[in-house]
Amino acid sequence: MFDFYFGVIITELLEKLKILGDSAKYDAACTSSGSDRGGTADGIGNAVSCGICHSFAADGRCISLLKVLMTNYCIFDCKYCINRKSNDVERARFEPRELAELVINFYKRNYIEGLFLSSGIIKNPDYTCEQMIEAISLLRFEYKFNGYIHAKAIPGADPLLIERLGFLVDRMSVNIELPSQESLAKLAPDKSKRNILLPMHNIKTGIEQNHTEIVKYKAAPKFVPAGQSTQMIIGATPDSDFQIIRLSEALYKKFSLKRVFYSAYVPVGDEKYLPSKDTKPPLLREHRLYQADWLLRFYGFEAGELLDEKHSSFNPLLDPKCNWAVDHPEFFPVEVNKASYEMLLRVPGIGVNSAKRIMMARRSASLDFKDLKKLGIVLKRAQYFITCKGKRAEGLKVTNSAVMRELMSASVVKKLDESGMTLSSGKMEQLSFFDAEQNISMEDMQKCLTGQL
Amino acid sequence: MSDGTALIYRYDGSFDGLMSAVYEAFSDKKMPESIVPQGDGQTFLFAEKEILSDRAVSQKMQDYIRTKVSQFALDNVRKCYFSNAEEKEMLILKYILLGVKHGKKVDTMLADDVVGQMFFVVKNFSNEAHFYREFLRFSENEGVLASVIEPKNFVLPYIVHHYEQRIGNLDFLIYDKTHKAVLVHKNHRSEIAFVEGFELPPPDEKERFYRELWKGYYNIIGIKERYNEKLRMNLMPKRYWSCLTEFEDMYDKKTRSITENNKNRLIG
Repeated sequence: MFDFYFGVIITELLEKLKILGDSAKYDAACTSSGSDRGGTADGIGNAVSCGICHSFAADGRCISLLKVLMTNYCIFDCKYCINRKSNDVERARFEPRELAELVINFYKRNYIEGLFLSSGIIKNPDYTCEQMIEAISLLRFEYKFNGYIHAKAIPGADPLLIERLGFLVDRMSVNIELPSQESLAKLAPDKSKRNILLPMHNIKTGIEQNHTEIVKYKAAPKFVPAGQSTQMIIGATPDSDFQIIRLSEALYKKFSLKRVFYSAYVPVGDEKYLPSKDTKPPLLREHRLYQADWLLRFYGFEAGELLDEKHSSFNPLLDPKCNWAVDHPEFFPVEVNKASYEMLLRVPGIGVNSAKRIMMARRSASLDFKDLKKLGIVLKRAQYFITCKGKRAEGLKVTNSAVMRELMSASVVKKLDESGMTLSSGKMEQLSFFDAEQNISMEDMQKCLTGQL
Repeated sequence: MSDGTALIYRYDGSFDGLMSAVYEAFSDKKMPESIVPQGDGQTFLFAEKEILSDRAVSQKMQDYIRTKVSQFALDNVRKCYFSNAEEKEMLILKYILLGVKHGKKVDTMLADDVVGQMFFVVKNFSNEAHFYREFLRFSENEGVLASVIEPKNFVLPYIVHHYEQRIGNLDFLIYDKTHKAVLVHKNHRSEIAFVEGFELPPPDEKERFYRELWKGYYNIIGIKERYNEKLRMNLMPKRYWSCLTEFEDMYDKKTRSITENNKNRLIG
């Protein structure tokens, strides 16, 4: 095959990659999960259902896919977006073959799991979508690339083009970006709710039809086998946590989305409707939303259980699961040897893996606290909410402040101690959200990423 | 030598050898004090028994575990054997004995000491094997992809399938520096062999080109306002950094940190 490398000036491609990577990096989605297929006889690549991270950037976010834009030229002027046409940034555009060579060479060196391709809107949505189809077709058919591809569905593109794209990729996403129509109208005048929800709906229908086809005819080509995802920007608009998770819940239920991503808003310009340029990204808030998101997807919680109209923001001091448990003493303590799986999952400190291990171990023995430790279950939080064979953990002091201390993450406790505040319940409410804001702990983040709450 | 005093089994270090040792303990109806591989320090305090590695016996032992306990238990035994756990041989023996006693039930006896230990060994092993699906980098030289890794556990047998699926149409090799073993995949066939040493050849122009591109990409993709060194280290432990292309020329192995003058580049 023609070796493209020799024709390229290194610095030029490096610059291009930097510009088009830089402009794609605010998209939070980088997962490569949901597709499972072996290698092919004459191609390169496979896909693993759990997804694989290949590196972690200096901000601790996973790098799984080569996340780039086809181009960052854009005719739209979305206020929150770094690539808006009125923004003065360097622009670049990948040639399809350039991009394909890059993906293949990164992939075989095990730098990446595949490609996440998005694009600014050039000329019009249809043309943009066609360009993406061209680049991905080249990769799939000429380079026989069988690894993971995630493509952004371009809002407003012809449904037939979206469908063609869907047969080439593993995952598609349409970003909602702003969680309410008002915010959308203010900050993304070129987009509309309809333009976003229509392709989402079409993809969902496509996936469902494809499933019945695959049942009938096993070799039927697969349409978006890893499902679709979306992203919302957090903190650019006044939308509340409650509005956001209620929307997520609806997206999971009505559109069968695989993932909703949350992206703390990083100021990209001085617009009158946006937070000022020196605003720090609301990382703790983003983190709480991810925690709540896991509760919706894997822990059997409903949005209405976590927040409501009156309490529309997450507690900065406690994760949403602990918060729920503290608010619902009537359910606790639960007896580890008898509780249902669903109830075990609601115990702070017991995650999906722990609950499963308890269920399994229970079949051959009646468990006490020592046994739980052997199972690798961390009792720091759980001990306040469980009994083993009818008994509480030995020597357990259940005072309000002791429990609260154990339930809060180490960084929050430190912050409280430094401020000299005590944990009388009245004071808790007064702590402003932004006090805790700066202090998102590694421990919390890890739990959130692995989904063990 | 079996005169009622404590006994040590010495086996050839192979899996078949270990299975033969377990079988020996069954027939002796007596627990050895320890099971050690060849070349592992002489013992003065205990009598030694030399175990002959017998493939047929080993096969019988494995079939027994698979049918009487489970495939899952056999997988655990194999992973434990390839792990770097201390006294792993005795753990395996005790685990199999439990299997003989309780059969399939062993899979659910998570609160048992031996089963619990086995769980942590296997978990540690599987975690590291997964790390080498993530944090392994190939360099291309004359059409061959080559990589050097330094795992604590002997993970090569557990990552070969993954790379066969992925880049099986290309020739590749992975050298395990810790265990001096190399996985060679050539013409669609893989083989693991023990070798004295291996060094990556110096990168040619094309290889350097892609390394520069990758480093450039790595350094811009982090968001400055979200910089979080601890989180990065937690998710990608430092011991893997020395083999990663993105830290090439930046990582000081002695101090286990990014060299001072390169820190700014990483923050974006």
